[in-house]
Parts: sequence; C-alpha cells; structure tokens
Amino acid sequence: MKQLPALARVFAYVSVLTVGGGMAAFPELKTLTVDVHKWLTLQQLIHLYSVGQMAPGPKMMMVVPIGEWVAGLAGAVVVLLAFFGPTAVLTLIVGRVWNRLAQWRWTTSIQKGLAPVSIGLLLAGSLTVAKGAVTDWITAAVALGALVILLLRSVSPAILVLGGAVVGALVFFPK
Amino acid sequence: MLKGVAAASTGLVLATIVQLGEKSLTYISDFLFVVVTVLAVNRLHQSVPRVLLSVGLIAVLWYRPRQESAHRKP
Repeated sequence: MKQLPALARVFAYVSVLTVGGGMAAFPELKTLTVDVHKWLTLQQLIHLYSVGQMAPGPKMMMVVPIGEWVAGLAGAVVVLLAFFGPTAVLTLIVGRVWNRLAQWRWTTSIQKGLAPVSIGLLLAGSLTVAKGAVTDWITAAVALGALVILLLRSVSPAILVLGGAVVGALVFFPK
Repeated sequence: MLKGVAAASTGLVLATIVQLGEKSLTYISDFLFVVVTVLAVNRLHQSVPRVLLSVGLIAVLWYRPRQESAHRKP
C-alpha cells in the first residue's frame, strides 16, 4: 500500500512522455521501474510488453500488471488511472486548442519538427527492448523475420507474435 | 516461449517505426533529428523529457515559418 503514491507518480510522469506512442516512453519506464524502484526486471518488463502486443486494446495496458505486482488490485487501479488519465486529459485539451490554431504560422513547424523526434523516441524505446529481447541468432532471426513479413505482407501482428511464441517454445523449452 | 514472443514483438515494433518513418520522414534533416534523438537517449542516457525539449525545440525552430513562404501566397 505504501507503494501507491510512488506508482501514481511514476506512471503519471511516464504517461505524458508517450509522444508518438507508448514505446517512446519505454526507456524512461525501464529506468524508473527496473533501475530506480526495482519493481521488476528488464526481462519481465520486456515480456509484459510482448504479451501486451497480443492483447486487444492499447498495447500499453501492459503497465497495469506492474501495479498489480507491486500493490495488488489497488496498485493496478492506480497505475491504470495514472497512466491513461493525464494523456486523455492532455489530448482533449491539445485537440481543442489545436483546431483553433489551424491558421497559426507555427502549427506546421511544430508538426514537422516533432515528427522526427517522436520517431526517434520510438526507435530509442524499441532499441531498449531489442537489447533485452534479441540475445542470440535465433531471437535475431525471429525479430528480423517478423520485421520483414510485416513490411512485405499484411499480416495480423498477433499471428506473428504467436509464431514467435511457438518458435520460443520449440527452441528454448527446457529439456 | 516468452523469448520468442519478445523477439517477434521487437520486429513488430521496428516494422511499425519503419512504416511511420516512410510517411513522416522526408528531408535529410528529419533523419538527422531521428539519429540525434536515438543517440541522446540510448548512448548518452539522457532523460526522455530533456531530449524531447532540447531536440524537439531545435527541430521546431529548424522548420520555423520562413519569410519566403509568406510571399508565395497570392
């Protein structure tokens, strides 16, 4: 229970960093949850994110189990509200203001300028995940395979993740 | 099993970023801002807000409204 304020603080803060997508905040999420508070390991965080890819709804719903691990059901509720509340309010406000600023000269500049930075943040986040997820030539082949298939064909991401699970089960199953 | 799931997810996220980049990145300067952002976060271990504010501000100023674009309008 005494972890609830920390959970609220961390996830509300990480929430507003998700510029371009949840992955943009992954390095900060990793620093705070793994390195600073030690609520889970990097592997656990990566596995949560990976399973979140298969689940319906927002991928970043995977943060909710962190709250559950740390402080039970109350922790899960606090994380859910802290993570999705601020961005929902912020999006509402910015969306309304943005429509009014359609004619402002700087609107295009802000959009053009923030696009590459948000892609850079997404890439930085995915590289953080890759460091922990791609550890040998088999995992590298699975990652590369998923990347190439998705770029060339229109395949449901869930099928690829399930394919990865099958490969993982066959190759890494303890003998 | 989770090792395979994590690896596939990595490929999935990278594919999303590539597709997003194809739509959003046009100029060489765009790619430069992507590289600077990645290096700042992953190599220099700067915090996301700091990178967002510093590189974001420079990028917005880089694409600031130019005088000539105002002249183009009839």
